[in-house]
Amino acid sequence: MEEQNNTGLRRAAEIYRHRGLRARQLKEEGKKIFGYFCCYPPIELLTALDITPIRVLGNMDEPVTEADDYLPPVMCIFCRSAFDLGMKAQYNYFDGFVGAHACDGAERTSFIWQNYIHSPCNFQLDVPHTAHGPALTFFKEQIALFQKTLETFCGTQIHPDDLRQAIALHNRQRALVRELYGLRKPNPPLVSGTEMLQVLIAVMSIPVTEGNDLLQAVINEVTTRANPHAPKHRLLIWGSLIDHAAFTELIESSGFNIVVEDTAIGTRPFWHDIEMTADPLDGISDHYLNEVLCPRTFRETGPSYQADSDARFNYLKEFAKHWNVDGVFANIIRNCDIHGYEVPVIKDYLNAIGLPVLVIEQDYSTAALEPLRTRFEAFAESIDGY
Amino acid sequence: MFCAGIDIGSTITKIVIANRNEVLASVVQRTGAQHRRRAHRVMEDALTQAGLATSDLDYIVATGYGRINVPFADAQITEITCHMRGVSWLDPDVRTIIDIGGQDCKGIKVKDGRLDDFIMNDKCAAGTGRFFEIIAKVLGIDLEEIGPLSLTSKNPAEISNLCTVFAEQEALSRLSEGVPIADVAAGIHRANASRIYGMVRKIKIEETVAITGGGAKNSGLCHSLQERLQLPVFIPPEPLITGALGAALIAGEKAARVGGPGLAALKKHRRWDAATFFSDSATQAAMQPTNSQHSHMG
Amino acid sequence: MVIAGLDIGSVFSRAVVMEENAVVSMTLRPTGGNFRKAVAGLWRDIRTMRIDPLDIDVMGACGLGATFIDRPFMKIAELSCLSRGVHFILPDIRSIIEVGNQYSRVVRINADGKVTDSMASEKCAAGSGRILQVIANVLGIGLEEFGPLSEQAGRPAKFTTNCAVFLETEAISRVAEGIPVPDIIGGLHHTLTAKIAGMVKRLKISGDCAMTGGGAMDSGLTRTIESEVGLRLHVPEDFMLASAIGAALIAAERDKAAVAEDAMASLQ
Repeated sequence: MEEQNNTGLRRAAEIYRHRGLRARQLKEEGKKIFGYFCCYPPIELLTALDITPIRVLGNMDEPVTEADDYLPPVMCIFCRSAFDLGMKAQYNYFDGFVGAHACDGAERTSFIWQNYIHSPCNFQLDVPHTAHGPALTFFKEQIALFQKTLETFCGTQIHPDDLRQAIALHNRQRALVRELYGLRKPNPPLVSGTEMLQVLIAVMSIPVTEGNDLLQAVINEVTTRANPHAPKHRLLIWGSLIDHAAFTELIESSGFNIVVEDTAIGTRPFWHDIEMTADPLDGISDHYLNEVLCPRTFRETGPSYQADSDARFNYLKEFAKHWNVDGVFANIIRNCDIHGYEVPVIKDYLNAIGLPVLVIEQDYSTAALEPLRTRFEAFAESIDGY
Repeated sequence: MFCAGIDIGSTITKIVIANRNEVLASVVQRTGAQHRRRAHRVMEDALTQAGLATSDLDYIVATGYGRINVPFADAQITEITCHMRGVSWLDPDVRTIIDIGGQDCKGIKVKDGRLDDFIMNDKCAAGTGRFFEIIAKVLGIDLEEIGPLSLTSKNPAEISNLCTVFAEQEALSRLSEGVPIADVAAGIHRANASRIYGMVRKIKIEETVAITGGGAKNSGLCHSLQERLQLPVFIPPEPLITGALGAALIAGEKAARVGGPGLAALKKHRRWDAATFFSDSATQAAMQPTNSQHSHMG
Repeated sequence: MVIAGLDIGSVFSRAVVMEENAVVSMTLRPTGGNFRKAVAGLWRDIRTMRIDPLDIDVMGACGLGATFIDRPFMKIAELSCLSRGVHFILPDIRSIIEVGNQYSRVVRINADGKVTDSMASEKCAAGSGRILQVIANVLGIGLEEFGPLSEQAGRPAKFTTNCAVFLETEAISRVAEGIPVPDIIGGLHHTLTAKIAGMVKRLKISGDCAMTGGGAMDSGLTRTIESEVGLRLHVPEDFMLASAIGAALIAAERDKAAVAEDAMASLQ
């Protein structure tokens, strides 16, 4: 019984540690595997064609060496690291690669990926940078083109029923992730930041049905277990993604429990369901353009600075309220321009609603993590009221 | 009630022993490679100065870069919080603290006597004490002389490099060109003051501004900083020990919160053994190149 | 024609005197923080080799302290001197890694010894050979001992900083933690190699490559670069004099061109 109770989190940790393993197995069984960059490509289309989508990530623990041939060092090191792993053949099982113009770094990396890593199928998804009406029309056409590219590559059409079923499966996944987030509302949270990171990365490394089973197992496990986490300050992370447990472990051993991550490996891909529309592409394009909230998209929200920040960041206020957040860590991977530009306004907004903010621009390297401990500890002390 | 605050910095170790709000002893020594051994050494010296025994101490807080290497400490608090507390106690009007340490530089904001915000550079030697140590050596003067000498300059040299290694070469070139030492020193101070000011600005500088750490003992750097700040500056009489002082004050608060019986239990479990897992020969090898300058203050 | 080349660097000053495309005399001495004195020292060295500086027909110079040379000379860019000098010593080589006190740099040259592409560690000393000297001082040993010692490295030490100044402190800490000296040196070689590898890759250099600068004294570093970057490195004999030789050769060529131009002008 004890062992069974343990399986969800342990399995997630295992998949996290060996991210390519399941994909390679599936490949051997004759399945198709596609890599996708950032959380903008509509992976529902891949699932509908029985292709397994695998999220492309970097590795903070692996020095960037091969990527230096092709990408300048001023580029965001997450992108460089991901491409570096590609050049080191760690993603050589991909049948296809879907890039997206999420940020400029991701776009260039995707182009260069296409040029040098040579996955058999490549698609570059142009995601508009505004959420205006015409942008949505354009985006839907892009997604239709993506669909056509996939259909040509696979030699089969996507049946609308299959697409609806894929949307339902991914919506189920979104709902499960949100349910798991709900289990972090108690104090102390039932799921730590490190566990959440491992579960979410695991889910992004296996087919959606297996991911949903895993999520269900984790939810069953953590709901019933005796809470293993001590109460600490409750931290919301906003900004660049974190894809290595060494970082969350450092934060959670410096006086914090991470309770919400508003990042691309956190709430962003999971927070809203795709609406089932008559033409499924309407629901898909609306979801990815309007509901995946990242500062990479400009949203016209109000005539004044105040109205603008209220409209854009109200969701953070909601997170803070429902997850009882004590402080916010604004994580900026060095040269992540989209989050870097947002720092002054987000700091103002959060301070105004009574939340302290710790901004750290970091080097995406496990070797450079330990010196950050003093910053987290001092931040915890400031929340303690020292 | 006797409390101690011990601040193991990358370069200098400081200790303050206080009886409630009265400072009984303070000692400043160069840290060296062995934090534990240094911790014991400053503690012994400070106890002697205060006329106390180890068993008299009710609570000990360790802070600084080496705070985890103090086996006899009852709690660890970051140097950011401790500097804030120490400076606020000395001057409650201070809103912004610029702490220039041996190997890092911090900006700290205080609001209502509490830690409000901070920023730090610990990645590059520019704007830290190490920069001035190296430049003083190139200029052939003692670290203590570089500040006063720079204040005599009428025409500060242009120093464009902020990498310590490059600035060292640049200083050398200027000297070779016949630029007076005082002008080179003044140029070095200006360049570093700009760098520090640029960093601290990010947390919105408000008066009063305090300067602490080894950098505060450099009159030339303080002058250049004040030129940039255009604000009143408070320099504590003993700017090296504000972190240790803050740690001692926090120790006092903690002791009061724990209360009598709890303190007795704490004392019983304190580890005073000077055990170290490093061999003596390794230590000697490590200490060799850095056993230079730095006066004792205590 | 007697030609001379001087290279007045931040750590070493060097001079070569050449006749008929051959080096007839050379000298190398520490700059010692004073360029003027270093230059004077070079002249003394040259005189002891029975060469009168007044007999020098053409002189080229490079390096941080070249402006302190008190005789007529042509100032030539360091990179050109290095390339031309290495080309003279190793004519078949088309690429160079120089690990100097201020920068590390990587250069591609053509069949004439002219620079076609180059890259330097720039801005700060993080990737320069300076860190080797700093750590050698900490360990109290010479750079030439790094090679044999690093062969015994088991688990190379990890460094968390790039700053050349802070590396010193980290090395002291590592020693205090009881990490063996070979592992510290090994870790340093990895750190520096990673920086150099980036430049080598960006310039797409492979195969045979020359290695110069103070870093070339460290056979452990050359070995690490060879194995991790996949190059065959050649450390030229007199690698410390390469730039001085290049300065002399380029000055002679330019002088010849100027003379020819004058002759043309007078004909017209």
